[in-house]
Amino acid sequence: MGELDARSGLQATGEYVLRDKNGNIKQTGDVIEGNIERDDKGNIIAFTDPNNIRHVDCEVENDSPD
Amino acid sequence: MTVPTNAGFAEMAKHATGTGTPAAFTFIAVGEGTGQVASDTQLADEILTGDSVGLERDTAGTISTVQTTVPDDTASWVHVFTATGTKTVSEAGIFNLATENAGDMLIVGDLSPVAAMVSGDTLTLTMKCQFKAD
Repeated sequence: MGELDARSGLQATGEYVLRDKNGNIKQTGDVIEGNIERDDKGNIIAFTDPNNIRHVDCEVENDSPD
Repeated sequence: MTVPTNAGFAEMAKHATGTGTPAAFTFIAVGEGTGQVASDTQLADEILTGDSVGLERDTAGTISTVQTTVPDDTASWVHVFTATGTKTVSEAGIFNLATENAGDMLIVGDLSPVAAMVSGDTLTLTMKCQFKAD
């Protein structure tokens, strides 16, 4: 079967604005894939850990004992 | 980038063909979990009505189609959640059922950074899903 367009599909994005009770902006952010940020080629460029620290340009190593 | 789910693809195929009585994706929910992927069907830890913090699943306030590449190629959901208590929101998703922790999840993602809310705070959440042609 012929492929109509290999590039087609669903692409989802999200963003948010957090305001206090007076309407002042406290914070803005994005809604991203499982704490992972990727570039246009799918390469991981950053992730945010559960402590809300964003890690950029780093590798995750497995330090578990054998 | 937010994640379109496997269930979301299936429901979109039903909508396109009119088979299987698909329901429209009109509900938005937030949670305290993280790390959901395409194979997941619900949030990791959805904030529920029983949590009594005003952040439970709701019909999105504004639902529309907008242009990303060509006119009306993108579904858009915008909703304002108002906290009545303290809660840290870390994930969000779009659903086709009002019932909490149920229905099909179209797209899901983690908030980066997480949104720590106290009573009176509002969270304006915008989620989009483009039927991408390029």
